[in-house]
Amino acid sequence: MKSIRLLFFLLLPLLGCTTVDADVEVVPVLEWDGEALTLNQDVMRNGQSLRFTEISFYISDVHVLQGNSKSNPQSINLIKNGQGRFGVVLPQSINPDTFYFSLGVPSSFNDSSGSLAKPAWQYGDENPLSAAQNMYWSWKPGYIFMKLEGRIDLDGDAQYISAGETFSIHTGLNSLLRTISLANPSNQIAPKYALKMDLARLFDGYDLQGAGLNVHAMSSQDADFVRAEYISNRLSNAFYALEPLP
Amino acid sequence: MPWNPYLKLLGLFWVLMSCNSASNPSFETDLDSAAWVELGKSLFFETAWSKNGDVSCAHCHRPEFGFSDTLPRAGGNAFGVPARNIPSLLGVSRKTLLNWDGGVRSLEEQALIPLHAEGDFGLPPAQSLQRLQGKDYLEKWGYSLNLRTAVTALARFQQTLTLPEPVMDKHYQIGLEWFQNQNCQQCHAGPSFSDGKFHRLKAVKTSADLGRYRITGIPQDSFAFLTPSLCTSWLSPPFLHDGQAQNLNEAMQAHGLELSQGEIQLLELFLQRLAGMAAEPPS
Repeated sequence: MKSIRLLFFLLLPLLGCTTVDADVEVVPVLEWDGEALTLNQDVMRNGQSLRFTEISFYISDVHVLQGNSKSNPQSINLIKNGQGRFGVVLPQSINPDTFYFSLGVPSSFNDSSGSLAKPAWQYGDENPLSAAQNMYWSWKPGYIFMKLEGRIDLDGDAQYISAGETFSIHTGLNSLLRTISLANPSNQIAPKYALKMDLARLFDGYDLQGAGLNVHAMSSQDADFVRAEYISNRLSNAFYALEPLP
Repeated sequence: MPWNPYLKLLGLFWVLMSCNSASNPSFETDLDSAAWVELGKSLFFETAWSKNGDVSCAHCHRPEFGFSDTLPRAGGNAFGVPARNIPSLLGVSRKTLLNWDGGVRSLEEQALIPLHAEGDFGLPPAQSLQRLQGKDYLEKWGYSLNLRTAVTALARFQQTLTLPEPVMDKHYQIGLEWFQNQNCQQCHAGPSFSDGKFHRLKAVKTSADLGRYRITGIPQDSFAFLTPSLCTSWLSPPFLHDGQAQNLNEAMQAHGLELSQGEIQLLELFLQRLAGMAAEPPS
């Protein structure tokens, strides 16, 4: 512990000299049909009531472009149950018109062959990539990129107690890593943005019943891979805007 | 307020502190080999891991059955993970890939499977760990348990579970000779009688369980499963990855072999010897 404190105080003056033109904080904001969404809140879809009990996902490789180069190194952030935020470090003299990020874990950390990536159990429990975050497949190497779990009133009895009235959609796999780009809504850089994610847009056209209720495609050979791919392909619609925050 | 350098400084301080605590250095530096094994053994038989408080690792990996069980299948879930025959843990440290499909690379990773919201214990790891706080075997060290320490200890304990010592009597020698003549050692090779590779049995052509294919995506791996060690087979029937073979005769048929009653008895005596048992054949 002493050595860590010493390192901190040694780094202090160096950090004080660091100059950053603009640091941006991004806060994901969950919505359903354009309205704020919280966990365990009832929402309507195609005449059926549903509620989310877990909404967790990784956001990584947040960057802007400077010429043909990415602005800052990869970062991996876990937004758990809708809570979390992440930062963008901007290079000097740049006023980007577009922000980029990936939904998921980059392949260098998600090596399904298991030979290259650091095993999830070796990370400290607080690390976003630790298996303790409950976002690791376990049965094979690799991370769950997004978890959407909840309850759905399939029989219309205004309750969620009948058998099968739950849903659990887990996506992952390197082939389902999706890069999302969002325009900066103004020609100025704001210090803080809301990243709007509308889950109704994510589920648009998705058959949320039967086999669509439980999707856990750990492999592209799994029968539910097509559904995981559908959801993954909707991500660029679901993450629909950046809005400056005061 | 902008996300300015001062906040970043605080963030860095938090990261440094959390890195320090997450690595749990006291636990990891204070335990010697024997203590790691002792801790792992306590965790292996601990039922507080599970949602209902009644399931431990030993629930399926029962010591009296070679750290396996006698059910055909267990461990599957509603999320596409197939139920399979529980493998023995004896000699598990010899394996480079674990599970019937080789989807797991280490004992530490293997320990994550039940410690998972959708796993056998039915709780997220953080909740499972919380339930263990205050246990005597943890209190004596004075440190809280984290996931990395837990799976490391579980792995250290399992590494001590060695294969049975074979009984090398005449039945062993006769069985081994027959075994070699039948070319069984093409797959059941080496000291553990497993080549550590994946093969598709003749009788297992199609099923819902895709085997190794689900891990590699290589079509040739369809319905291929890891060659089990024969040193422990006799301890925990039924046999094969899905427990479909209730007896040795059915297991041989799955291999595409029709054996005489005499050959079956010879093989039974051989497998008993591999498992360290020296029962004489019935007269």
